[in-house]
Amino acid sequence: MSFINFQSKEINCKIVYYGPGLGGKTTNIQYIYQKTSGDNKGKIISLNTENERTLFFDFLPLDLGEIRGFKTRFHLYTVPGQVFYEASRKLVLRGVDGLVFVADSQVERLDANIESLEGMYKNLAEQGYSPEKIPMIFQWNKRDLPNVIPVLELEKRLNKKGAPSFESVAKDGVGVFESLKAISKIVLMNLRSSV
Amino acid sequence: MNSILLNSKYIDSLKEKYFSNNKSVKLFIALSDGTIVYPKESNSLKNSNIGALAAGVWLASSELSKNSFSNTNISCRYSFDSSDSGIQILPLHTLERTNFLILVFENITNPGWLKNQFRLLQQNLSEQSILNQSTKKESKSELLFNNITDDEINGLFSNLGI
Repeated sequence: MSFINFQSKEINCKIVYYGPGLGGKTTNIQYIYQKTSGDNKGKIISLNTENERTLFFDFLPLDLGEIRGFKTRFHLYTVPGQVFYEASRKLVLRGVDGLVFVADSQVERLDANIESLEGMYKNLAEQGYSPEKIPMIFQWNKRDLPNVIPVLELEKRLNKKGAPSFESVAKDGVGVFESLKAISKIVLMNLRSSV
Repeated sequence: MNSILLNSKYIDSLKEKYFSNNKSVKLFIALSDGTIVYPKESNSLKNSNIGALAAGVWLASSELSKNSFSNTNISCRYSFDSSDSGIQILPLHTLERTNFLILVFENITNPGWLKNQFRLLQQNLSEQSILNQSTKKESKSELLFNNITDDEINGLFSNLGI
């Protein structure tokens, strides 16, 4: 749930990167961390297993600039992708303002993408969210690999409601900031103020 | 949003009242999603991690308790401490949601007294917050920004050097 402080004119929003294991969620956040200037980012937190798989979440706070007089801060989270961590994924979704679904484009990961997406809709619904009302974009990751599913097929199988989507190679930064800017725009345009 | 929790001067006065501004004690207030609303500092990004982690451990502990206790209607606290240093988290219930009161202390000679003061502070703030909210008028909501251009978004991210 976004937090708007009208006294100090500040906006805080929570963006969650969701998707199947080893799909590139953490890589997105790490790339953003590496490429942003020092004063406007916090420390990246990664709660990992010993073999560098996300155990609970990754977290990166970013101070963006001002928009129409409001200072904006985005809190970026990833969920653990492995099937085993369903309970943790539900917790990270609490208070979400926007979702980036990072799909693994490889042919053999299609079922994992579908399972993860269906799990996300179920987890959102269980916590009282209407999945269709949460701002969301898709990122088709790993487009540099040889065995990828055509984008049209991914759109057809995963993006049935025609949300904005981006091709990416997160390890090289391709599509990473385009995705972040797109979800930021939708989230900000979705913010509601009490009057 | 509950204005009591956003009133830094008021929280400062409570901190002085309950902890006598002990320099070994740090107090934070985080919203349910981990956003830190107290203290307000010019460069508060470093506190963001504290809010995210505190909300995370609280939520994880709550879920764990639901799977462990037959009576889930108990008032809990989260503690991670040694005999003189540690972290304690207490829930701060408002009408809208559960927020978090976070105490970090180091090299304290009487942590028992400190934790008791922390509970008193929690009670005080919870009562004030609910009282403050119960008088709130019903409000309607409307979109904060009608249209945002790509140029505005690019301008926003230019702050990050992108």
